[in-house]
Amino acid sequence: MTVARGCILLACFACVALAIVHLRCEQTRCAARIAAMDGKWLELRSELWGLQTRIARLRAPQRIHDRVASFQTGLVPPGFDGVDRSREHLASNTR
Amino acid sequence: MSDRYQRRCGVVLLSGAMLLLLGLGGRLVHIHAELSDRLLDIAETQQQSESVIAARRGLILDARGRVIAATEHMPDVFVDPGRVADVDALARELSPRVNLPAAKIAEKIRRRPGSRYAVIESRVDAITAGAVREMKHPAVGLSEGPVRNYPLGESMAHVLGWVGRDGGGLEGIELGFDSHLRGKDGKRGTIRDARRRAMRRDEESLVPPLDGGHVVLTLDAEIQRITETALAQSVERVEAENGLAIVMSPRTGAILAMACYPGFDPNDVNASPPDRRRNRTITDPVEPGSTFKPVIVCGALEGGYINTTQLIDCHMGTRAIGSRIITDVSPRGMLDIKGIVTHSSNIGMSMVAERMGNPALHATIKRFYFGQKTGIEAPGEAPGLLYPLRKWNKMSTASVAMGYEILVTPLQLITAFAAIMNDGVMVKPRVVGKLLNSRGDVVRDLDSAQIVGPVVAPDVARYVANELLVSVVENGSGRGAKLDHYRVMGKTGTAKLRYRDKPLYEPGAYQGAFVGAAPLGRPELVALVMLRRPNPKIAYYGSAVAAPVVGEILGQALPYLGVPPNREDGMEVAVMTDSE
Repeated sequence: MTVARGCILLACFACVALAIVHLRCEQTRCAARIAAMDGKWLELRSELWGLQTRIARLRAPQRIHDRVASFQTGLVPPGFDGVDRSREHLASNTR
Repeated sequence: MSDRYQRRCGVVLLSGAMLLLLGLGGRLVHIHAELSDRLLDIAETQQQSESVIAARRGLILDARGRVIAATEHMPDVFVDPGRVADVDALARELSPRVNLPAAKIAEKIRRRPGSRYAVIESRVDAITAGAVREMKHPAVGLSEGPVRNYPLGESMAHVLGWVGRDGGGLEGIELGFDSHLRGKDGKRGTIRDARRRAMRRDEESLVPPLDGGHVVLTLDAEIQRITETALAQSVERVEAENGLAIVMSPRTGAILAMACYPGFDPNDVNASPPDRRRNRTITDPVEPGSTFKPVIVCGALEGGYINTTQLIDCHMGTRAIGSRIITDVSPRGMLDIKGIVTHSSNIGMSMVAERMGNPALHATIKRFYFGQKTGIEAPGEAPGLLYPLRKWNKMSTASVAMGYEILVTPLQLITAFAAIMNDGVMVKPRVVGKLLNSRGDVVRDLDSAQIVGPVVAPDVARYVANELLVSVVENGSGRGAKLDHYRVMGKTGTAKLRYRDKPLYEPGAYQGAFVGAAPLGRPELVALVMLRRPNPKIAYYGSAVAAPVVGEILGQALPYLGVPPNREDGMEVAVMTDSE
């Protein structure tokens, strides 16, 4: 066996080893990204819950009435156009 | 360089490499055979960490899907006292960020010198958390935990109840449906590098969280708001000790509103006295007074003890029964049953009850299920008190006919009244409509009428509702509940209250009540309002303190539900229904 052949063989070994190390690194990096995404998922889940609560607060009937009163736009809170609707119903159905 | 020399060099080089590999292999075998257990333990401790994934407690929603109880994550601000060099300096730095005095923060840190975790402020909002994070102080941190939130504040608090620090339900629906609402926490393991950074998750130790199911109530937040607003205004106006109100659908038994005033904020339970947190609509039985009379009248008419035209002598407002004197608010002579109910004559009712006799009277009350729990889903319901017949005496006949010597919960009273409005068929009152799983699929549908059974003949119930109880509102004591667009039926009641510590009636202590329904013909809503201990110098009769509140509630809730009016400008109008 010549020195050149030995070197080529060692270089081949080294290449294979480097490839394995690189793949291992990539695998670890992907796993770390998955772990980070898990963390992000938990964060988003928590944020979603917070937003849901915030929306619920904004949808509270008393707050809607307060806003309607303070903005003075002349709008009627949802559900409170019922009297007019029922009158129309009466007009077409009274006998 | 000769070939031989080159070959020899190659052999030496490869032999060296082989020896190195053998050495490494030998070391590997040594590590595996001798050191593996110890090293594995050390590695696991260094590389692995396990964290809990909190399951979310289910939502509580109203009948229209509004979220009325939800869980969110909120952080606590904590300090590690072991890492603080200058407590006062840190307290001064932290003070404006958490909006607490520096002295108080310093005290909290010093109080736990040996601890690594001193909570400075619990459940802070996102802005405060951001301000604390900006400090980047090694001894200050944030730890998140689930917090139960009630976005509507005090509204519906008595029905919802609240949860404890551990997230378990302690009262109301939170307690009654705790096993459904409560989820199961998951956990996840993470493999970390030498710097404790997350490298990958440990698939073997991953247990996903199971979020809790949701509960949909029959309550409607808008009708609840209407009820609470009207009730609060009346309680404040007449300076009553407290008040309560229930709104119910007589055909389905669905409770649309249930309110007690003054209330409490379930977001901060400890800020209110325990007495305010009780759902008195189901826990506190009361003597119902004259609101009980329609029940007795139903029994008298059905049993044939009186007919609709018979006249009864009301003794011009004063009658002696043994040593006891019974009086009427408005003295009358001869009255038929309609007149007796319209003017709420105690004397007339005592005469009717005497015709029935105690056994028939007792049987009538039992038929309306008084003295038994209604079976509503909210925990803590009281059964009321109906004395056994053998404990009744001669005076009981008149007393019971006027709504005394019997204790009923407001819920029992409105349920009985709803049965009269529902052609004599009693339905079970309920506050829960549906149970959903965490994905929102229905797992149990409870949203249909659960019929308890007939409690009075349909023709008698219709007569009492459409003739007697309408007359109370049109011509009698319930005029305060009269509406422009709907014909209302109802009955007032004013009961004396006993001293808190002795079995005697307290002068000037009253409970004013009104139970009403609308619209006439096909009642969609029944409402009960009861005010306890109003200031008698202002008003105390049910007609003055409670009837207008019921009118206010029905007048707003019926249009909101899209119920067509059956009265226009004081004239009754006919409305074609689907069956016509």
